[in-house]
Amino acid sequence: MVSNPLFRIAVPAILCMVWACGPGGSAGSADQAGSPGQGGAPQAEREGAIRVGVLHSLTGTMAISEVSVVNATLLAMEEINARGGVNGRRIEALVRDGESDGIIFAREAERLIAEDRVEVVFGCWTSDCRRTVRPVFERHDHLLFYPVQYEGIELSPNIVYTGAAPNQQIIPAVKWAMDNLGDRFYLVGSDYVFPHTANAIIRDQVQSLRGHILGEAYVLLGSAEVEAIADEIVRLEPDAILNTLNGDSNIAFFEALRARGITPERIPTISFSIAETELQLMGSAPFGGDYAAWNYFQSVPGETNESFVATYRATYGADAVINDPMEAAYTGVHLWALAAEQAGSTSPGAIRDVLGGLSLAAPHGPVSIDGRTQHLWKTIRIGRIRDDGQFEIVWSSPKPVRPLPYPSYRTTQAWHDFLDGLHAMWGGNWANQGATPSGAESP
Amino acid sequence: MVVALVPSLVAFFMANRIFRESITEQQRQGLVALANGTRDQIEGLVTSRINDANTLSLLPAWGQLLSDRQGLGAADLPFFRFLESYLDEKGYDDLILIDPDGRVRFSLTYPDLAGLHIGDHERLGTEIARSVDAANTLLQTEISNFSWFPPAEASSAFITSPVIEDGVIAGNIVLKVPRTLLQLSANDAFLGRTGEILTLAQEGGKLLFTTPPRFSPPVRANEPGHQALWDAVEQTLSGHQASSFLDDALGNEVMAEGRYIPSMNWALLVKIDTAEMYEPVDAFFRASAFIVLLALLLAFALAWAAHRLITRPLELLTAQVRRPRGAPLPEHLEIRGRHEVRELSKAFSGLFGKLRSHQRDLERKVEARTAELSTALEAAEAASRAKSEFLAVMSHELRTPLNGVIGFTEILNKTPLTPAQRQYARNANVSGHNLLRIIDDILDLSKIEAGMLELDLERTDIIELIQNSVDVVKLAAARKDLELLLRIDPTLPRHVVVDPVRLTQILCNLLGNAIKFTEAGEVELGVEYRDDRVLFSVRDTGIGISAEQKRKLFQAFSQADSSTSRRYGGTGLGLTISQSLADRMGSRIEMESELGRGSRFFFDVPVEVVDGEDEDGEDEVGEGQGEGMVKRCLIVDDHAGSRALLSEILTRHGVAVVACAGGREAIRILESDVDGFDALICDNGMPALTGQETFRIIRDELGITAETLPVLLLYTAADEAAEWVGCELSGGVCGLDKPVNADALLACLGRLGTGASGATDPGRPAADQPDGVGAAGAPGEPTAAGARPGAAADPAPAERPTILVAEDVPLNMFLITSLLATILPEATLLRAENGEEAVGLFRSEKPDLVLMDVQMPRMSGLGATKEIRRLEREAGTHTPIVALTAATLTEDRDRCLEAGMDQVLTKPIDTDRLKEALSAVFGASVPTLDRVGP
Repeated sequence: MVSNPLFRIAVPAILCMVWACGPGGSAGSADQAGSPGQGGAPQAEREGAIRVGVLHSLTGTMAISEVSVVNATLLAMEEINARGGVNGRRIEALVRDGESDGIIFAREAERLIAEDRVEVVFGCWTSDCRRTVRPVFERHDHLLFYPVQYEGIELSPNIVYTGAAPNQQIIPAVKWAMDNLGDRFYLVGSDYVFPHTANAIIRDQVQSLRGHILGEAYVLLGSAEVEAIADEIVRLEPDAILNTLNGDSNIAFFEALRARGITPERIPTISFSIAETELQLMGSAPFGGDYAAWNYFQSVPGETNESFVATYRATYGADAVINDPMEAAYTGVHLWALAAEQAGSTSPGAIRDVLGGLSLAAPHGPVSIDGRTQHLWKTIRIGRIRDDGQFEIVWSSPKPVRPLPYPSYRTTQAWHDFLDGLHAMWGGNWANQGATPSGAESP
Repeated sequence: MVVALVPSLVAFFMANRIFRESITEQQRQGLVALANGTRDQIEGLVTSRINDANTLSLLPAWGQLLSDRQGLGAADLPFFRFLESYLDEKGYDDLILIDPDGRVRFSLTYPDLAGLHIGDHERLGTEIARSVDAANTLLQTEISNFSWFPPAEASSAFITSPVIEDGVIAGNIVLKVPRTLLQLSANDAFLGRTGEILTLAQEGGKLLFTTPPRFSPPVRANEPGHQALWDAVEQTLSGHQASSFLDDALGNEVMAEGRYIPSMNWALLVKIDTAEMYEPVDAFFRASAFIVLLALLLAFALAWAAHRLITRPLELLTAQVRRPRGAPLPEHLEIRGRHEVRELSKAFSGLFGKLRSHQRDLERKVEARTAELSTALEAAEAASRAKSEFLAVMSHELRTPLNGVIGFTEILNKTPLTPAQRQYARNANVSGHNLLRIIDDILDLSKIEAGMLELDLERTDIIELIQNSVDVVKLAAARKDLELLLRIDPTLPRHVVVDPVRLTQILCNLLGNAIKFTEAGEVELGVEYRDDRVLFSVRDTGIGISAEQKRKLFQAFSQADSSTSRRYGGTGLGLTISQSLADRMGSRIEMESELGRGSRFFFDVPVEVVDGEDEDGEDEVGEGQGEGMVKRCLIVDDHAGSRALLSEILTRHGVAVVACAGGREAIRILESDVDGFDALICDNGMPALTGQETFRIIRDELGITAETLPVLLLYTAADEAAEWVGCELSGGVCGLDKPVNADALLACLGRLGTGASGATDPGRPAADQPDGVGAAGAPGEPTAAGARPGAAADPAPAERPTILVAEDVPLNMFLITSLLATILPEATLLRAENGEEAVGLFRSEKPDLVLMDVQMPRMSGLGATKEIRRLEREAGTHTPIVALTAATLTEDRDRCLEAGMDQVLTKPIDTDRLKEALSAVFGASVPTLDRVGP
């Protein structure tokens, strides 16, 4: 016989409880049906990792700039995976090499979207590449996060521009130059679409502020033929040089200037394509004392940037430097992840729907996606190059600036006509493929 | 209880948690939607205001107005009407035109401001200058923060757009934006009771509400209660957007959703008190807690009721039913409970009642039975005691008169009588012996049944024992003309430890039975030795025993067939006694039988072999065999079995044998081959030609001399051949009675073989033939001299021995003295009637032998013996004392020996045994008496 009195009382009690728990039972079944918080993770496990494309030049002339952008992109993805992924799913990056060639970029973009079925692509640097791949993304109604400051005059529902629009880099810099350096400028740039467009904007702005453009000259990409330009600058003695040269040409240009006794004290230069990475690669000595305009400098104060720099250096080495496009790429990945969390999905369409108004604390400051243009509200800064290759920030906008890819003083059509002219001039290319630099008399 | 409680509580809390989570998620999503909606609303308002300014800035009139340094003219009035109506319609409360130098060209609402420079913060505030600068820097329309605008004495923001004429900034238009223009049309119903939308901007290190809050007090830095809210706003202003739980400025816990509004650089916080949020959860919690509690109480109540109504009564019932061993059953069970339990209790009560009455009945019956049994037991014990006593008395009382009958008939027989009288006397003697044997059997049986029979193991000559047993029955066999065969295993050791008396008793019984139930043919005693056991088998060619009879065979007082009892006589006790004796020896008599063909009884006795010193006689036999053993022997015997046995014995000892079945045949053989044989062994009792006749023919007609062919004549106890052999010794013949013992046969042949001249003295060792026929006849027969091995060495005592007889019963005294006078006529007999007298006579007369009765008045035989022994110890002599007792038990015997007696004779005194005892004392001077046949 049973001897435990507790048990003898418990048996009838259990029977009673079974009856009493009837309503409770239905609450238990709700556990299976509902539970939105717990349902997501296991489902995601079943679906596996989220595949995303990273498309940059790992080889070719742009590799020196783009490899570090890849690093920053992957760092952001690692951070997201470390905190549990997106909607409980890991991000799996497929890194593809665009080989500094727009055609290859387009081909790889096609492969990533059609074959690898990635949910999003982070990539491109040059406007040439971006403009070449853009039709691919639009045809697939896919999504590209583009991290580099550019000439503007573009809107695509399939591209999120996390770099600066012209009004977020060039225009404030010109105004600052006119307020602080003088109103006589000499424009020099590489012979492709961005410098040409930038200079067009600069011309407009200088003109609107009653300033003067003393000269405008272009150097073929990768060319060192800058002596004539330097001589002309010496001859013209502008108040400031606005430099949109890209790549190695800068070394030759600045050495030529210094060789002719042009120091920042005598004729300062504001560069739009020289950042920490270039200074590290080329050596900061020729550039010291000159200026650059960006949204982000590695020296930006604040907790968010300090943590970003520390994490990056912990991953890629203590002497690694970070520049504006890297920060923009890094921010882009986080924005995409935030959008995916808000949308509860990673499909390009779902993400695009929640992009407007999406904000986060980026290393350079608060960013928010302007829903109409899919550009970011960004803070603008001007820095003076220090001897150590970092920048001393001499000016920053008091608050984030609305992105205006089409500077408002020309109509949209006028800007498109301008670009079409360039495109036609270069024989259907977005850069001068010829041997002779374009003249100043651009459309 | 725990089993029930834990899952229900777990389920309860889980349900609560799940509900709470789902509420949280639902509310969060509501807040997110509201926050996003509010953000988009503000952004939309700002964008549309900016577009307003953009559109206005593109009006062609500005260039002229700005270039015209003269001020406003009448031509401009329609334009101003348009502007005023536009402002009214859009809700702006002023439009200010600023020239490239930064001076106010005009203000629609505040005309006094004209001419003021935008740097005049005192009059214009700070925001106009800031917005103009921003617009010109970015070449786009910019909106300022809200700040104090002195002319309006209110907080205002300004939307400034550059006016570009021919690619040059010609000036700026500034739209004054009142607070109300950005007023949020928040849905208070959606916000519930505690929901709130806050927009905050950071201005000079302070957080300012840019739209009026619903409840919240101003947020102040360094106010501990505001820190959480402050931090949340700062986070949001840095671009961070997230939901969080925090304490608001009112000190309530809220869930808040933060959004950054870039166009105004504001932080938007949408929040709701968690108290309101979780109201349904708490209600649910209270309700379900109530239900669970109720259920628990109900469960407890039901459990208690169940316990009270079922479990507890059952427990009590169990406790009452399960009682310690030996505890009395309860009178009745009084268990309260539900009717089932009461029924059960009643049933148990009824059961107990029945059990109790049954128990009482049983007890009464047991008592009655016990009483009956003890009475019966007492009666049985008394009967048993009475029986034993009766037997002892009977033993004594029967033997004493029988002693007289047997003794006097024997003595009477020695007196001169007429043949008829002699026959009568002999018959009386035989009847007495028969009666004695029956009494002995009955006594034996009663002793065995009483468990008082004990074996008396002693070193025994087994061959002698067998011979003695055969001797007892051979006369009977001879009378029935049965061949009595003795087949002894040559490996049989001579000396073993057995109870000779009892073993002889068994053998005699089996042999006697065999002879009794065999009308013709043979009886064979076989003895084999195997693995320290001696196997005896008695085979006959008698009537046999059926399987059915066999079952009753060993039961007391039953013969195989009651008819056989009438035919053959006998008590039927013999086999029962034998079986019991065998049982005591560790053996068992078994039998196999075929009806009409004969039976075979056999048993084996475990023996201990002792290597005793060899007997003299045996040595003689051995010598005889070694010296002049016959080499070829002719055997004549009509009996096939006997012939075969003889042949076997001789062949085994290296004697060549020719056997034939009759005298005629033997004569023919001898005629053809007269020198072929060293000896002739001839059975006397042959039908056609007897042994004697054959002998005569051989000697007389064939002329074969004693030297050439000595003859060994085999005869039985019944025929007269023994005496004839005695007369014919000189004729080269010697005799041997059947059954033939191998040793005796070989000894005889040995003597025959040593030479015919020696044949004149065929005296055989007495050991081989104690009751040899050759000794029959006159007492004191010289041939018997040396027959007693023990006596041969004794020196002869006095010529006239003195014998003291102590016996209180006059009849016994007379019988003993008569026997003694017969055996030793020259002896002097002294008579004592009790122990004292015996001791006195012993002291005075110094007798050579004392025959002492054990049971005597005044002093018993044992006491007298002890006294005599005491006297002797003083004198250093030893006189033989022989006990005479009617008691036959071993313990009586032992008591006598303990007292110092040398020998015990049992009454009735057997003449032979008395003679033996005398000869043991007086040696050769004791003559042998003719043995009285059974």
